[in-house]
Amino acid sequence: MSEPLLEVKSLSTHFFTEDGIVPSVRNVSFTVNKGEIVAIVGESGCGKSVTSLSILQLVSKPGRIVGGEILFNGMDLTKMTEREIRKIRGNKISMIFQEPLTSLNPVFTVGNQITETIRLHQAVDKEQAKKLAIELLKTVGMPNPKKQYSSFPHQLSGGMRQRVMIAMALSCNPELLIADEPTTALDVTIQVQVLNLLRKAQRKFDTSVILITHDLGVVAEMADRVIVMYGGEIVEQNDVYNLFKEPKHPYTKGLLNSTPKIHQLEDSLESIEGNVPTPENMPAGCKFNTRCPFAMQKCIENNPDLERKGDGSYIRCWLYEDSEQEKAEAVVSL
Amino acid sequence: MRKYLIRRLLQIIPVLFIITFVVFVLVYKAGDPVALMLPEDASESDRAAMREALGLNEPFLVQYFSFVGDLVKGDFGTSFRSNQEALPLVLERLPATLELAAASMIVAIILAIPLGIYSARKQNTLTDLFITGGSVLGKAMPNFWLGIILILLFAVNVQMFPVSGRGSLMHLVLPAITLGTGIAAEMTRLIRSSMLEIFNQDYIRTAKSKGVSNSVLVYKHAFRNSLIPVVTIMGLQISHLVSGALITETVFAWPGVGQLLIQAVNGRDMAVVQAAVFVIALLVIIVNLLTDLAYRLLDPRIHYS
Amino acid sequence: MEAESKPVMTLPRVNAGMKTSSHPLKRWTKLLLQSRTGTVGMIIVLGVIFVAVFADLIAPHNPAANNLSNIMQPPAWVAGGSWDFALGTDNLGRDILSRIIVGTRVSLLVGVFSVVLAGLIGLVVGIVAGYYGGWLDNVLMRLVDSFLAIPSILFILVFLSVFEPSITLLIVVIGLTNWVTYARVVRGEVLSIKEREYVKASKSIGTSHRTIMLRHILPNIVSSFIVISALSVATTIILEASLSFLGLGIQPPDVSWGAMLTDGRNYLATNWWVATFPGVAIVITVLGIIFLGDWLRDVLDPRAQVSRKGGGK
Repeated sequence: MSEPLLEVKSLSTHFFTEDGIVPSVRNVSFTVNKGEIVAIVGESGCGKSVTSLSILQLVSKPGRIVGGEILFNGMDLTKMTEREIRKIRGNKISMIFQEPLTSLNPVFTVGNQITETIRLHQAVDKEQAKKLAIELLKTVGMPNPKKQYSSFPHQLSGGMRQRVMIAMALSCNPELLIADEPTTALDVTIQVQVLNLLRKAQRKFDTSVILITHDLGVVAEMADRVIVMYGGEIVEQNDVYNLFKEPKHPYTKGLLNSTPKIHQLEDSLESIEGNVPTPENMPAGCKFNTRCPFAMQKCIENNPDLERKGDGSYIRCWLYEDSEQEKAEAVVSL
Repeated sequence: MRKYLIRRLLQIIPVLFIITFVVFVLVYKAGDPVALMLPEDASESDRAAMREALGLNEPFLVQYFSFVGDLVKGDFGTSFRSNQEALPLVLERLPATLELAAASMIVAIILAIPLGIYSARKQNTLTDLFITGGSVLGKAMPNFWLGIILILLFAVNVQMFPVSGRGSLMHLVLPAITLGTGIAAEMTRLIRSSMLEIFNQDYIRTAKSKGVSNSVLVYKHAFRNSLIPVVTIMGLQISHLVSGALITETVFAWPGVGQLLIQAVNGRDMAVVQAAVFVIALLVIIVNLLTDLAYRLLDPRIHYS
Repeated sequence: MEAESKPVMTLPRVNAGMKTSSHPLKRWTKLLLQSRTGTVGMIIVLGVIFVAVFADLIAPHNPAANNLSNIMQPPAWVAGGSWDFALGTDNLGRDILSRIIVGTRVSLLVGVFSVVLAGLIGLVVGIVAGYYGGWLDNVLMRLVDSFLAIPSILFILVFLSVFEPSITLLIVVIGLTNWVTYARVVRGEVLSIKEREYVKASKSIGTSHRTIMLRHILPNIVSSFIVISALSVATTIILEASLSFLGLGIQPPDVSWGAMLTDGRNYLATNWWVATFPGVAIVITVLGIIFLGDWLRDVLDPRAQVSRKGGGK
């Protein structure tokens, strides 16, 4: 097994609003290994975006990380000063956001915004930075990069803007790239191009990627490992092949069943009953019990733990509760 | 760009039409220009002669167009107070007014930009409350009263600045503060709210994720964007500046167009009133055009269509 | 003239009690008490109205009576002052407090009525332009734009140089020059309301234009209308005071805060109180109206409420 680049341990991020405390992320732990693509999936509001923002300490008021550690190459990002974390941002860890139009500053040129990142983290002069930026634009497949260097975001198409975001994110050869719904705002044909580009870049620079998405098609295409989140918690974690072959958690099953499959002719597309409960209506016990077809008395009373299974997967569900003996075996196999 | 300029210049025409029409109807139709121009004991035949000389017996449209024709030639008539041509009288006062307006804008900008940014960054703290409270107070304070209080404090009690008149830089300080404070109050409010809105934008988060420092974040990424709405609204503030200047010039006996206009209105010196009104209106139109252009320079998203 | 802008003060949240209480008066009082500045504003405004209505009963002295034996008395708390003339007297021995009390009337009269006049004209023009659209809208809006391009004070000054100033003239003149702001805002609101489904539905079943305007459109623009009006009463009070200060507004024997300042200005070096207190009266009144207006905006304008809460995720 390759060594871990990022270890998130028991991360909790809460929002302190006027209406009370909203625990958006509770006790989330996972690792990302070098060169690995980890996908975090879930419906909107499940805490996946807040998790990704927490890694770079970008959660804005009234949100705050209230517990846990985020170890990056062994250093705890949560304990860093503002100055220290700024040296990591855009340099060792960079981000790509969902909506490229609003995520780029409208009053500065594309070139200005890319060179800003380069000059922040690398000792280069203006001319060199410009050269690097144009080179990056070429790498991400911008036609006529010299000319596009001085264009403004609004003059580009959605796909081109996302390429600019990617160029900016790659500009300092980051070790970890966090892509928060990078293709959601794009047309389907453009989505494929951007995903191919991300994959190409990931292989070229041997970057690790955290891919945040609700699109299981993207997950199947890209990810090595998948984390499924619901109600601010991880409910299942497995490698992509096994997760798709044999989903365990009822929520994961529901997610997979609600995605159309081209090979299977089904009469109807299943959907998960009901909606994600709002934070103030979050049930006691298992967070999914309001929508789960298998909900039992136990599920309403107690929240199951996220348990590691013998096959290396993690699952948070009473249906898969281990016998004591199995638990012991799991510990031994660690 | 050229097309846009031409279109904007064409839009000035109806504005000029309306102002000439209103002034014409008021002065020559609703009012009695003859009574204003002749001494009170003038005989009826003198009045009739004056009426004829002014062309007041012609049809309405003929009168209006000859009025506009005179204006185009720069002929606003003669001030019956000073027996001088009205337009040169006004133009000679213009530099003083421009000086005061520029100084006030500088005062307003120096106060409003740091205060607005600071109170946005410290939203909902005591400092923020203090600054926003101060800007409401600045808005509620009439110009003339502020001017009088400043004179009382800094020219009468502590004799730091001259009470009135124009000349040295010291003369400029109190009038510029008087006129600048009201504008600064409005501007502070605007910058604060526009900065607050911008802090929530996605591109600010992007900049943070790049490792940009706080001060670059505020002064490069946020402030540059906040200028767009601020400049737009500042264009609208020009009318506050004009009415403020009229009053401030009167309070401090500042020899500008405003003081001249107020004296002319008080003395019913119609030629000077008209000349001053047109000069100020034209100035406002030009400034509005310039702010519009500045706005377009600040926001690359706008096309000149 | 006044651009629409965001609320000044960050007020406590006020939408919480909306549904619960039954009686409208009770509900509004509850809403008001949730906002500190709103409450202060309401107290000031009610106080000012009370003073204006009962000015004759409250004023301790006859505001116009010259009393040459009491010239330039300082305020009561300054050496040489007496509580008989709490805020001192002016150069003719007139009681400043009484004059301020009576001056409230003029300020409110001009402030309220010119806004009502401007509002009515603007309302009609705005509804007609927005509702009918087409060339009529084009012409009216070009007119509005042209008026907005020139500071209204210039029109007002031309008026005042032609006619003899009086309270009525001030009201008419300010009303006639300030309607454009209302026309603009009302038209914008009408345009958006016109496109809503229920108005379209009503039209499709043959409801008359007049009924649609009265039944559907008017009630919907009331709240933004009230908000602009409240704040523009404040600016009008300042405008009236300024004009009177310049000698172009209220003429003696009518008493105006602005004109009182003109008198006081000449005695600044020796008798500061003459010019100071009328100004304080203006500031307090205007502050009260702004506070109340901002509160009204927060309560009535749902958009302001959203922006106040901030757009965080």
